[in-house]
Amino acid sequence: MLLNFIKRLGIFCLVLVISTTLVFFMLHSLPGEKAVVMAKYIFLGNVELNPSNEEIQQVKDKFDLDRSLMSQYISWAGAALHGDLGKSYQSNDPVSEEILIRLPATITLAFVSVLMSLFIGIPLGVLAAVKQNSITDYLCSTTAVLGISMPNFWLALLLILVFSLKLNLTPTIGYGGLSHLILPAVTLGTASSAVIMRLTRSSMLEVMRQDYIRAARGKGLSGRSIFLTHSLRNALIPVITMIGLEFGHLLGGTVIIETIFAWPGIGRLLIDSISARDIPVIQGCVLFITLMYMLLNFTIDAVYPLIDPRIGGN
Amino acid sequence: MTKIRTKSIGSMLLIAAMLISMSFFSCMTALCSSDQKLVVGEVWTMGSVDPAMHSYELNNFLVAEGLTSISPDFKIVPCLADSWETSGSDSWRFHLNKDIKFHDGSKLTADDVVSALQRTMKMNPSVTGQLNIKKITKVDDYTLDITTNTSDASLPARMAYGRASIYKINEDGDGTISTPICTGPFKFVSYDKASDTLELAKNELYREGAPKLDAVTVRFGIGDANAREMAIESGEVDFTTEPPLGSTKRLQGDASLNVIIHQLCQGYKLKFGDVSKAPYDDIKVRRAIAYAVDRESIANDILLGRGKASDGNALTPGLAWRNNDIKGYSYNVQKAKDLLGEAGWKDTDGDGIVDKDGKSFKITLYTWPQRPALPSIAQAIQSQFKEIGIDAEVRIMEWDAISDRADEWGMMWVAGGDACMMIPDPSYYIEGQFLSSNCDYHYKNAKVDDLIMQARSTFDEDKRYDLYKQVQKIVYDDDCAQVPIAFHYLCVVTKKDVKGYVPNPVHHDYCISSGIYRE
Amino acid sequence: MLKTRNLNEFLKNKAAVIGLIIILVLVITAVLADYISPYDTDKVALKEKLKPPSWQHPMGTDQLGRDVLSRIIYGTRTTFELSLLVVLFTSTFGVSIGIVAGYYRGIVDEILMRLIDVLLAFPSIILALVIIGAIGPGVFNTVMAISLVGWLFYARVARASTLSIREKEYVEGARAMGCSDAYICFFYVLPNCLPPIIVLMTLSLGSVILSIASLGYLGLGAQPPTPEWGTMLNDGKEYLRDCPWLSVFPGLMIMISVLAFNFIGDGLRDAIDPRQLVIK
Repeated sequence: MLLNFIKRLGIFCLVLVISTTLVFFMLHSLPGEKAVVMAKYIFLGNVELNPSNEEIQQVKDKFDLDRSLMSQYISWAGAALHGDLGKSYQSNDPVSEEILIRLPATITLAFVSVLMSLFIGIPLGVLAAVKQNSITDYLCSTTAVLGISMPNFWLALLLILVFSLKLNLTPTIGYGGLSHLILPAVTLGTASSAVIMRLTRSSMLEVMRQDYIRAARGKGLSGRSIFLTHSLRNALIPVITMIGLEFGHLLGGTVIIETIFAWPGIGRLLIDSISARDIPVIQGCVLFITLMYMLLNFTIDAVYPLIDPRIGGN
Repeated sequence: MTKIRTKSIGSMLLIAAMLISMSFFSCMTALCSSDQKLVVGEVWTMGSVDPAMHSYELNNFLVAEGLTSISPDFKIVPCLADSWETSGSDSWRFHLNKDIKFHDGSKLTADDVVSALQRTMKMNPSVTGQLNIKKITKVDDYTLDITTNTSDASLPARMAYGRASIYKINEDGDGTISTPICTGPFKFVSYDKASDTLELAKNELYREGAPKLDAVTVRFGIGDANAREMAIESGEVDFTTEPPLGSTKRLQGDASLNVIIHQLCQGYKLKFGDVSKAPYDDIKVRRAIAYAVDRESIANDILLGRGKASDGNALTPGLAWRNNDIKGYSYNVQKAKDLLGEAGWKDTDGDGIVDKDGKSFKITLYTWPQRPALPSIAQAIQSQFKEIGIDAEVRIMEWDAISDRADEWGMMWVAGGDACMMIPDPSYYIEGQFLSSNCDYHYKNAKVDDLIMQARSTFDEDKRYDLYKQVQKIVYDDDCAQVPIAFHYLCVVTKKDVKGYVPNPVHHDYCISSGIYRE
Repeated sequence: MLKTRNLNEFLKNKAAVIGLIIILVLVITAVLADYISPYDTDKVALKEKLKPPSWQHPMGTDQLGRDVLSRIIYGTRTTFELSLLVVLFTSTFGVSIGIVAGYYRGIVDEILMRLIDVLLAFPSIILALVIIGAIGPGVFNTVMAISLVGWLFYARVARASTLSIREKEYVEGARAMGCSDAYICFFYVLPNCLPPIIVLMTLSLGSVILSIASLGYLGLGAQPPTPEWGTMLNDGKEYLRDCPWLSVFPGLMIMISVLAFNFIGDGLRDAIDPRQLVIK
């Protein structure tokens, strides 16, 4: 048990190192000289202007960019190990602050979207599985597939047009209370619900087939509801993994939705930082996303045995 | 009977009096409580409020001011400085207005100007470059001397640059300023970083009188044009810019909105990757390309009224230093073909593409996606080029990726933005585009360099402007160094009751006016 | 592998059959594009710009005067070619990695799987954006960018299949007989992975089309004037409410294709022997 945990921790650290290294070096293969791009975004504030040679040199001096890539990475990593993620090149504020102030918006949106997929996806999936190949099944499946087939930016603009503009039920954009949360959550939740619904359906079908055979061979007919509950518990196992995956995915930020709804999330931070070559922020975000994801994985793995005591190991 | 009649008349009078006073009071309350607040929906993000990095935005929203300022008709006007004169060929003396107070009530002195400018230049390398300042020294409490690196007649204009605004040094522990204290008509109230929203309030102490608006909220970062448009239609913002290209007519027909389309100091142009080597080293080829562009069609059919065809000079009409006698190149396909033929480019193998010495005229036309009209303009030009036998492939990429490719054979790009008034002085644009030592497309004309150097140290305004006009004639008509296409007009959408907006084309992209009020 | 029984069960699924018919129609359109397209797709005719649907132009014209129907027809070709390429790359690469991880197990397996987990967490759109930023936009580069992110699910599914197969008696027997690892992987493990992989491929075709559309919407992807549904959606952004036909038709085509692929994939999954299936 302890050995397993240590092994996991070791792999976790290895993955952290690999992902941050990969991203760091990938960032340097982006076009344009780093100092030039930084001079434009951070100091000139305008992409379409050309910085002069003196300005570029000053940028290089200010951030010590003439060192080798390796030494730049090592100084970042050294500081990060002490919990110091550095300061954003753009705002001069600590990277941890930049990420933390956007956390509430990101987590809220991710959470509500995933909740939606839970409360809509699972019941519909069970319904479709139980009534396989009936009209109900086709209706549920088609709705679900429609949810995944529509480009999400389309859905977002359509929802704003209908519910905000025409019906005046919600605000159009921005971050605020519950009313601001509805449209972005529905946009994201639609796709998540569809995925969860289809997974629940297929998982239920598989489990039901096995259990049905076993039950038929065995003691005789069990009550339908007992049978259903028993199958449901087993069927939910892969679904829970998927929900974890979805949540983790949404935590990384959803750029397009955040842009349309002017939602102050991690996705936009990441994209803006990539454009501006704000390396400390990008590295910080990568670290954060990896960390969150690993934590989520650990939690899910810990939850499994609670659902099905037969599952002890991997 | 009489009693009742008196009573009735009495009650009627009473009711009448009540009604009149009620309507009077409601008028009063309407006037008193009319919300003099403005919510602005801004396209770009800000990210932080430290004036060393972001006083351009603070200047656009009338929070921060510089020593000089620039009026909507492009004249340099006094702002924090009352007057200025040169004291030597590389030094200027500024006399400050003695009655200026910061937002916190303290008086503005020369010390404040010196420390603000020094801090900005230290933290922001590009401002050091733009201002060309070697040294700033205080002479007395209301006078200071600025020494420039080179003999520079444009210094007063440079001080109008948004980023040269003056502010108090109230740094937090980590050296950043998070509550700027400046001198403008609006003062800083708060800034929410996560939602990128700036709250401003009216500055009662403003030397020219308080503005009419009580408060301004600026919501930065609303990047999606459709979302922005829906925000103003629903009333969540009161003032925004650049709705989707196709929306103009519909918004103009919306009774709750006001649409203003006005000139900006920006435009679209064709830029050659390298004019020092083939094929663009031949003036005939450059001229042929200039004749092949149908500017009217681009302005009408692609910009859909949010622009105007260029007359051949990329500088904005109305500038005092603009040469308005540029002949330019009007759309003439035959002339373009003839010129190409004269330059040796003929279609010898019948494939529709001209060639010379075995090489076909196949080029790549680059542009970037940030300005919505650019991809369409590039495709329109691609088809216009086809008519004269040039085969152009369109590629859309990020700006930095494009400039990396400047030395490809025949590289050309359609550029947007192209602001000519970041600093309200001819030297900014002319030197940036045509001075050979700066030139990223290797344009070199000794006469042009000469004229520019002369203009730097000519302090007589008329003579200076004349020198710049001569440069324009050479670069546009004689040398065809770049091919201007059209001017970009800004589309501003406001709620119907927002009045008093005076467009100031100088700011990139716009600035609000202190005279704005809600009716 | 696939027996007649499975085929019959697939055909009983009405939705799957409809999906198949839709895809066949689209493929035929793509192949015969040159013959059935009424107009040239890249002829700029600014005077004909932004015309609503009419008899001459059943789907209207775009902002440069080009016929939308023709661009949709050719777009079928571009979109399908791209998605097929991506799915082929990703499945080949992903399945190979998955089989290796599942067969050899041990520390290699653990690291690969955790790395995959992390890569899965990464907002794929951002990864694709960075990759395209590095190598430039364009059709081929879009394929590369999406492929680099898309192989992960294949690896997982292949690995799971491999895990279940490697313990089987006939594999043990083959090993005892002295067959090389490569032989076993290719002739025993791989065929066993195929059913769920084929289901995954069909379903991915749908999501790849969406990814290409998203990248197109961000302005990266197929370069103009190449007609591609995602870039057409992007072009239509600036005219969304005033000329909705520019966005509605490409959007509908995307939806219909993705729907059809999903129906086919679901039908396949239901029809194939469920005990061979591994749930994603």
